[in-house]
Amino acid sequence: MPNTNSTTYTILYSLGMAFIVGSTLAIVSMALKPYQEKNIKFEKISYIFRTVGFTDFNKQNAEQVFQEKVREFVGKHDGTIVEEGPWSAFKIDVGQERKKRPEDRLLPVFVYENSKYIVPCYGVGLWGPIWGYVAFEDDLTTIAGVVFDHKSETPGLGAKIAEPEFQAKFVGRKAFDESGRYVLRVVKAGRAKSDNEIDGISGATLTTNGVDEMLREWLPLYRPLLEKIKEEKIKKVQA
Amino acid sequence: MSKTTVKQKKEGLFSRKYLRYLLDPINDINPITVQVLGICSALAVTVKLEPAVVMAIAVTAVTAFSNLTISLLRNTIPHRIRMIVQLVVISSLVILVDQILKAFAYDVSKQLSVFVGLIITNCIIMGRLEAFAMGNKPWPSLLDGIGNGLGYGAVLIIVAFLRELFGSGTVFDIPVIPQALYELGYVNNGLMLLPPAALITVGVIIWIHRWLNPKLIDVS
Repeated sequence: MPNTNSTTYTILYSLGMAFIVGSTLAIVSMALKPYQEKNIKFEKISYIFRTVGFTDFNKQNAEQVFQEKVREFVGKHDGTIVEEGPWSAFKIDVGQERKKRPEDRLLPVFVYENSKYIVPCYGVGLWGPIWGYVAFEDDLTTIAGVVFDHKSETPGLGAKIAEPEFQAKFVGRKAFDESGRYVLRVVKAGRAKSDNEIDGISGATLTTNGVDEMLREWLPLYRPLLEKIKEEKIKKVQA
Repeated sequence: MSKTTVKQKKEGLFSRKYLRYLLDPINDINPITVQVLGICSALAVTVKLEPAVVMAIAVTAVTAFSNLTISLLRNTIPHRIRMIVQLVVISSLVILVDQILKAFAYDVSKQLSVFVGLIITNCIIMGRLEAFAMGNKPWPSLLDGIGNGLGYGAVLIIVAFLRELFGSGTVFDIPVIPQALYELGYVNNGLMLLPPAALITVGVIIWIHRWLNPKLIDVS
């Protein structure tokens, strides 16, 4: 046994340890990466399908079904379409886009079965990020369904935004009025009076406000782009 | 030398002495209720049973294998950097657990989020490495690690069961409180969902534990 208290031994020991541990972790991380990426991709596909109530897919065929059912567009807030085609919108991370100025953001749009328009959004709750997907009916105003999720909202309180009971409240509501002005409000629990006001979660006012601000920030941005996509679609049908 | 081997063979891997390494931490020297270690994660992941069970398994795996590794290395570790070596072993095991959960139990890893990483700072693990694995052979160390993990897990699961039952009215997300009771005016206790409730629950468990186990009564 060498002298374990000598400086040389200590330095060599720590170098050896760093080398062994570092390479082991690198190998494990590389070996598991494909599984982890598949999970993340599957989760995103599940969010998008859940907004329109489509459940007929599983982990194996999700990517294929997604390509059959969904067309993708990427555009800007003024309605210009920048890119379209498989995985074009899918690969855009709205969490990253949110860091840019609204007029510079790339906006991904998913069109389900040529009839529903699904848009992602991203904001902040009480403890961390919250995000969601909103599906519009063909009139681009009525909400067909929403899905929200969060990183670390309080379980049993703010975390309820990820539950179907809360999300069901959005179905059938109108997000815009006749003139295209954004009118949807998520208000403090029990305060909703009119049709465009939605009751938040009691005991989770800050998360509720987060949802309200997130929708207010993103939904109006998408509006011109959705109109443009719908127009293109009609042109295509007529041609 | 031959004498000791004979003695060890007689003793068997699960002799009473070895079994005590495994069982003592579950009761007499329970890391949470007696040593009062690892409280912070006990507060954080006990709102629902499922994450608590996963956390219990993850911590047991990490304590067991870090105890084993450190015990195997104990004679080679330079004294001056022993804490760093312990931390490196713990954190690489935790990263492994985190990566495996992300690959094969994605939903659970999302629920546990930052708390998997915080296993590294769980004082039980480093406490056992310093107090036990540095001075004992691999087999007792492994048992001690598993025992402490289980002792921690047992308390975690009891707390999570109570908090989920009274806070959400469910057990493993299955509703157990009959609808009729809600119609009579029963409401779930919102306080049980917040961290202070875990502290109160742990306190009550410590109290009951001391009442049941005379060995724990403070003579002074």
